[in-house]
Amino acid sequence: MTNPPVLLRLDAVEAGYGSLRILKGISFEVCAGEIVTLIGSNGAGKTTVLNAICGVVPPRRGTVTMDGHDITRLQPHEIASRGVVHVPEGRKLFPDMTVAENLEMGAHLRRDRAGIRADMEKMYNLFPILGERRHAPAGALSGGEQQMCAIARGLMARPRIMMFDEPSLGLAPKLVEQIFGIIRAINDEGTTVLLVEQNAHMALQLAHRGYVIATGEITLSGSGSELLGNEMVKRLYLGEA
Amino acid sequence: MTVPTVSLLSSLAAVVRGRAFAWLLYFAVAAALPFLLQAVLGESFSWGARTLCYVGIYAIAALGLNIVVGYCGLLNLGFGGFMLIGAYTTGILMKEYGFSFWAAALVSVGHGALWGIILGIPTLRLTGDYFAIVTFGFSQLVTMTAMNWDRITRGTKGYPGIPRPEVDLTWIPGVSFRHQFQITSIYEYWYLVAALLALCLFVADRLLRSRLGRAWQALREDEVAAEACGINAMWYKTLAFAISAGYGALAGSIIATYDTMISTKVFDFMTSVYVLCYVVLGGMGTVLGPLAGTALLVTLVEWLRENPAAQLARVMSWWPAAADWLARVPYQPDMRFVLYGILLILMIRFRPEGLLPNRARARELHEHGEAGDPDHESLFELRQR
Ligand SMILES: Nc1ncnc2c1ncn2[C@@H]1O[C@H](COP(=O)(O)OP(=O)(O)OP(=O)(O)O)[C@@H](O)[C@H]1O
Ligand SMILES: [Mg+2]
Repeated sequence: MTNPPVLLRLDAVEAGYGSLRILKGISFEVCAGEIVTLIGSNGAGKTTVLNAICGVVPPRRGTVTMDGHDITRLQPHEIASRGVVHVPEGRKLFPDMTVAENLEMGAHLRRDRAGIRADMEKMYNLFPILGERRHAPAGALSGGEQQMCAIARGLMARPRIMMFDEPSLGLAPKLVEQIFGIIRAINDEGTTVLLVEQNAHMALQLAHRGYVIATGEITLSGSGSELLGNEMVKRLYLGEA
Repeated sequence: MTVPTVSLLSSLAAVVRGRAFAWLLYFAVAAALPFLLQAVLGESFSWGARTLCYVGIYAIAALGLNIVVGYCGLLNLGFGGFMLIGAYTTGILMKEYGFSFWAAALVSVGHGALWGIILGIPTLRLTGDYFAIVTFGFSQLVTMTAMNWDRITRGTKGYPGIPRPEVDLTWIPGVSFRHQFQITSIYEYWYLVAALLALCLFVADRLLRSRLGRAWQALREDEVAAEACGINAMWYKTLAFAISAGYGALAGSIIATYDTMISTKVFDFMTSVYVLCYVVLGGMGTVLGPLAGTALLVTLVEWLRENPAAQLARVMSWWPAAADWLARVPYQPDMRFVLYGILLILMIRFRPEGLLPNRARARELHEHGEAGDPDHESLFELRQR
């Protein structure tokens, strides 16, 4: 079996806030078509990794390459225009725009009106609740609905790689199942996924490969099932004795 | 009701809701206003007409400031600086270089926009309060320059002798009377102002409903999320700043020819504050809000030049005791600013979203975020039609 090409690669990336050095040389890669998950405890630096990739927290050292191009020093909007789309922690919708307007914002860089229209209908099929509430301001949605809206907005950009930051946070188990099902469906349609999760069990079951991050460093990597069987992962992240 | 009646009514309703009707109404009202004022005000007509012109000119300024403050959510405290730049550019070009008003106004708009970009590029990265402070500093700098650059601006002596605009209709085939004339009467001035205001309203309205307007709204609501959608924050904000400055320069340029002179005092820091009040009181982020705010506040300030109690006393002549008492209420013209302040405080307490609020802005300020507004058509759906 030949390996698919690497889509996103981090090479010794260091980043932080002010004088705080949070990421201490992170290296990993995501191949085209994969679901890769990044797990770790609170404060390990998972969100910071995603922010470093999308340019919100520019890396101080190291390189981020997307499809062979160095994107380390690019502005967030330039990185977005290369198909790297981030569904941030805490949803970050435009609260006073309607659901439909939020989806349109996701497609801001696209010019194919017919395609945008078709994709919006697709989102309403994928998330029927969004279709029902398309004229409601996004700020008036429930937490789960907002998460769906954030995912749908991200998909409207037709991303090449979609990065999710704790999509299951604060959702009822049934909704978590649904969100994970949708992530799988997105991946089946060809979108590469980088998933950051607290819910390590579900994330590792879904992902092809995973990385464990602790205090700003990658401590372990392997396929989803390998990590699920790893003693240390079991003890630290799966809560098994 | 019969079917044709219903379809007639619904198409009538569509016309009323659409922009065509609004424009018809605008031009009808604008054309009739001076005559109405003359009929109603009688002797104080010239006061009314002057106020009307000021409303029109300052509404242009308010529409411009609204692009930065209302559309983008950035506080600009130095808008008067752009008006001053526009006024001097027009004044100097018309008086020293014989430019027509139209050419001078066009250059002024470009000049104002250029300074908007020059100020915007280094400062738009700043957040909130710091940005506001820098814009304030900019306007002070412009005022200081104008006051001290005697050779060009004549400094504090003021810049007199700016000609009135000329209208040249010779290029229209078939126009037979008054081909070329100078705008002098207050009627002509109002029609000039009303025409330029219409243009500014049109542009502001189109901007608000465009892709650009949506991007500004996204930046206002969540800059990080907006950038994640591929919006170049610096570019869009600089663009807003440049357009806004162009509006300010146009307003300044009209004021210069209206007053036929420029005094640096006309565009001091308080000008920036007043224009900001027109925007906030009228309703940020809408097109009609700044217009309403300007109309109300400019009229109020002009009206309160004279003792309102004494004015009331004249109307109350049928009740001599009250009229007599009212006539003796002491008044200083500057006291109107106290009343002005009270009005603003009441507005902010009871209607912070302004007189004619933007739906999204009102939600932001009242936080009742109630869902399901069927009237709210998305931009995309509007484009489909
Ligand atoms: N804006 C910030 N300024 C300063 N320090 C920050 C900032 N954001 C995060 N940190 C610090 O960086 C470290 C890593 O934070 P990060 O948000 O990346 O963790 P995380 O792995 O996403 O955690 P969680 O699972 O709780 O979301 C933490 O110690 C945190 O305190
Ligand atoms: Mg996090």
